[in-house]
Order: sequence, then C-alpha cells, then structure tokens
Amino acid sequence: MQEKEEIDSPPPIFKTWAGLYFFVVAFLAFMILSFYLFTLNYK
Amino acid sequence: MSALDWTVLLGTLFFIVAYGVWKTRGSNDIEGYLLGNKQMKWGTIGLSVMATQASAITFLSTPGQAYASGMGFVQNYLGLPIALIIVSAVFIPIYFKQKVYTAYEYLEGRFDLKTRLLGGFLFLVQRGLAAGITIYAPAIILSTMLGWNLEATILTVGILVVIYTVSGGTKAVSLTQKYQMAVIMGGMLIAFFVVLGHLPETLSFSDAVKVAGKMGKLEVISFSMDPGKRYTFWTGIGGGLFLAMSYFGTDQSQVARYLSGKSIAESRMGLMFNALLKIPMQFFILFLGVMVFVFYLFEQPPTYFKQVDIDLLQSGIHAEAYSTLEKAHTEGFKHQKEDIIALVDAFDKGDENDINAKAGQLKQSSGQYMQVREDIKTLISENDPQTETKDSDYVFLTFIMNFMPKGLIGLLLAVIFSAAMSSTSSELNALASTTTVDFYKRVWMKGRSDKHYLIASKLLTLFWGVVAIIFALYARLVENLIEAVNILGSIFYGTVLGIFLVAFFIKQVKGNAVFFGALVAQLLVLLIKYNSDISYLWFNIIGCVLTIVFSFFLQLIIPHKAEDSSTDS
Repeated sequence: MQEKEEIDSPPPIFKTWAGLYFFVVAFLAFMILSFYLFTLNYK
Repeated sequence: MSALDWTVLLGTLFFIVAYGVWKTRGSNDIEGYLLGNKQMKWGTIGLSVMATQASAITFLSTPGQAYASGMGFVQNYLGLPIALIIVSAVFIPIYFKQKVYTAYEYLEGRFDLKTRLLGGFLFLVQRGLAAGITIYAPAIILSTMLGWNLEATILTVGILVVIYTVSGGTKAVSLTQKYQMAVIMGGMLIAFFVVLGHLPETLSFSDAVKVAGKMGKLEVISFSMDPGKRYTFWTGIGGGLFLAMSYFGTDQSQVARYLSGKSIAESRMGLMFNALLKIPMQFFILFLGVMVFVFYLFEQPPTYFKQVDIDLLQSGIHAEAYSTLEKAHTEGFKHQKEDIIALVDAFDKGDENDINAKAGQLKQSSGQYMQVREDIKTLISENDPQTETKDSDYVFLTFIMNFMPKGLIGLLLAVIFSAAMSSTSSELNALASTTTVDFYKRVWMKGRSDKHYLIASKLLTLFWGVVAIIFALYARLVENLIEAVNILGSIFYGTVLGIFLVAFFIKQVKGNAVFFGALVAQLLVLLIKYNSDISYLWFNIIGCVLTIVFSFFLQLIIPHKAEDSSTDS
C-alpha cells in the first residue's frame, strides 16, 4: 500500500505523472518546431 | 598560463575534491556507500545524471563540431526526452519495488543468475574501457595544446577522482557533481559572452546569426532520408531514443544516480529535469561553437588548429609547399572577409536580391578558402600518415587560450577537468557497485558482513580507478582506440536494452530463452557491424529488436521442463 502511494505521489505543479510526461512531449514538439523554423529562417 | 589561471584551476579542483571527501566522511555502511542512503533530492539527482552524461569531450569537442559541421548534432538528442519518460514510468518503479542496488540484480529475480551475470559482464566490459577513455581523451587534447606532460595530466585527473570516489562512494559522486555542473555551466555561459564581446563592433548579434545561417551552420533539423547522413531527425528520434533508453535505463553509471533518490518521485523528477534541459543545453553549446565560427570569420584563424602538426610540417620535407599554402590561406581569408562584410552591408540595406547575390559571392570565396584548408590537411596527412587530420577538437581550446582574459582561462580549464572528473567518478562508482553486488557478493563471497562488503566496494573502486588510469596511460598505443570504444558501446547497448524490455513487457519469456536469444542477437549485430557501413546509432535498435524477437521465438520452442530447471540458486 505504501509502495503504491509512493508510486502514485504526484510531481510538483502537475496533478499526475501523465500530465508531466505530456508536458515534456509537448515541450519536445515545441523545440523541434522551433528548430525547424530556425533552420528555415536562417537558410 | 598565468599564476591567476593556475590558482583558479587548482583552487576549483581541490575545493571540489576536499568538499567531496569532507562531506561524506564516516560513510560506514554498504547502502550509504552504494546508494547514498537513498537520501538524494531531485535537484541533486538531475544534476548528477546530467554531469555523468556530459564528459570533458562534450565541452571540448561539441563547439568544435558546430564550428566544422554546424548544429545538426543536436538531433542526436531528440529521442532522449521520450526515453527518459519511458525509464521514469516503467524502469524506476520496478527498480524501487525490487529494492535493487544495480540494474542487473533485477534480471536475476525476473530471469536467472546467468542472465544477471551476462548483463553485468557486458556493462563491465564496455564501461571499464570507456572509463579510461573518459580520462584519456581530454588529457591528450590538453597536453597537445598546452604542452603539458600527458602522463602527469592523466594521473592528476585519475588520482583526484579516485580520492573522493573511494572515500565517499555514491554520495560523494552526486554532491561533487552539483558543484562541477555549476562550474561547467557558469564557465560555458561566461565563454559565450566573451565570444560575443570579441565579435566586431559593427556586427550586430542578429547579423552574426544571419551570416552563420548563410554559411550553412544553422541547419538544426534535417528531415533527409539519406542513410549516409549521420545526424537527421530520423536517426535522432529513432536511434537516439533506443540509445538513450539503454543508457539511462540499463547502464549502471546512470541507474546508480537515480537509485540514490529519496523516493520514486524524487528520482523521476531528476530524470524529467534532464528531459527538459538536455536539448536546450546541447543547443547552447553548439550555438557557442557557431559564434566561435563567426568570430573566426573576422579574425584570421590558424591554418590548422592542431599546432603540433603544423610544427612538424614546417620542419619536414613539405615545409615549402606548406609556406605556399599558408600564403593562399591568408589571401583566401581576406577575400572571404571582404565578401562577408559586403553581405552584412546587404543585410543592413534589406535588399533581398542584393543579399542573395552577396551570399553567392561568399559561397564561392568560402569554397576556395575551404579548399586551401583541405589542401593543408592533405599535406599534413602526407607528412605524417599516422596522424588524424581532424582539428575540430582543438578549435574551442585555441579560442580559450588566445582570447579569454586572465583568470577565465583557468576557469574554462576547470570546466574541462570538472567534466572529466564528474563522468569518471560515476563510472568508477558504477563499476565497483556492479562488481561488488553482482559478482563478489552474489557469486564469489556470499554471506559476509556489511563491513566486509563496504571494504570490498572501496577496494574495487580503487581497482577500477587504477585500471582506468593504466588504460588511459597506454591508450595512445592502440590505433583508433576512442572510435573502437564508442562502437563497442553501441554494439552492446541494444542487446542489453532488449533483455530489459523483454523482462518488463513479455512476461512469458523466461531465462534460457532471453539468455540465448541475447547471445545470438549479439553475434548478429557483430556480423552486421563488420559487413556493412550503417551508422552506429542503428545498432541500438537492431540489437534490441533482435534480442526481443529471438527471445520470444526461442521461448516457443524451448521445452518448459528445461526452462524450469534452469533457474540458478
């Protein structure tokens, strides 16, 4: 029970780990898009 | 180097070592030594994971790589955040639930002893060799550049690392890495602003970036499907994902960092810290290299950044030919600079046609200038066929030594030493814990006291430190050693990852199937390696997929009785 609670204890700011993971993926997508636009802009 | 630089360099290094030893004095139990008493918070774990991955070569070579080839290398890390999410969601809860000291310990519970030992053995081989290279690679560059004695440089780094790693174990590694990362990031930020400060006053930052773009250095993302192109979006998101998953999920030098976490949440946050910051950090270091490139468009660079090779050339039979090329280099630089100034003027006027015309002229003069550099490299190769005609590792250090103010040179060298020490300490700590927990305690010396295993861990840390130092001292006798070690790592990583993924996700596969499946997969990866030219990043995927497929099918044909009796005690 204690282990389950530990696994389920949420990260700061986000309510769930899935929420944080979604944020990380969204940030990655944002970086890739920014890099792509950067590449196009300075070609 | 000035007295101030020596003071900054030695002061920084000795402070970190003394802090590591003092702060962890009195570590007297095995859990404290190998897992830091599981008291680490996410900030320390995050920095420790980052410092373990970033070796001295990261900070020496990456700016040089951007100088030579642009920023495409950042794509190598695109799979890393996704890999860290998988490790955080799947690997960490399992390791914590099993209360393991090493990743390979888990394999015994899931499969059998021989699979645990196979995982541990593959780690010891690749990481044991890599630890020597982590010390050797920056030492050879520093000694070549600064005229330092190579052996003395290797011994200094090696002995300093061994002192605090043997003394304080995992806790000392993590605590010192916090300060090492502070020195590293502080030093690189200062270097960035010093480079900007050295750009011509008439050149705005915006124009500097535009010039770099026109010179082809700002292609960050490429969706090219050309298999010969080393860094693309596809190699990064595919090969990079598997490489990072294997490295962070199964390589004990990283696993030990987050196993020291106070809780699962702290360990996960440490990894998410890296998932968010690693790519921006690599982007920044590469961008610093691009700014060094722009700087050398206005300040004539050496004909070749590795001065030792030029000295050899000038004293050999090709001296006259070199003298001619040296003049051509100066002329080529002047023409290129004129065309760049014309391009910057066109930027300021904002006439698109004029910009394109000037960019075309620059492309031509730059091409001629680059050809002279290539001719010089050919001459160096003819003069000494054994030497490697790649000087990009020396670009950033040349800038540091020639253009950094007094005091900051010492700080930047401290950055390089700190990076070498932080990754080496993690490696030695992980090698010792794997040897102690998976071999010494499990196979050779069962049932001894905690104190016995603590002493054994300390002695094994010392042993691996000595092995790494000896390997580093003799590294230059082996041709292409660094490349060989890098390839060795990627050859094994896929197979090890495959074993762990089978363990986590394919519950019906048992010990014999995964053990023999992994061996066959490893042999096939070796065959592919020696019979094809594909990029080494792909070995991670191939080894992993083959291990999973072979394990699955072997499980279907291996009799269950044989499987049941295979479990070792």
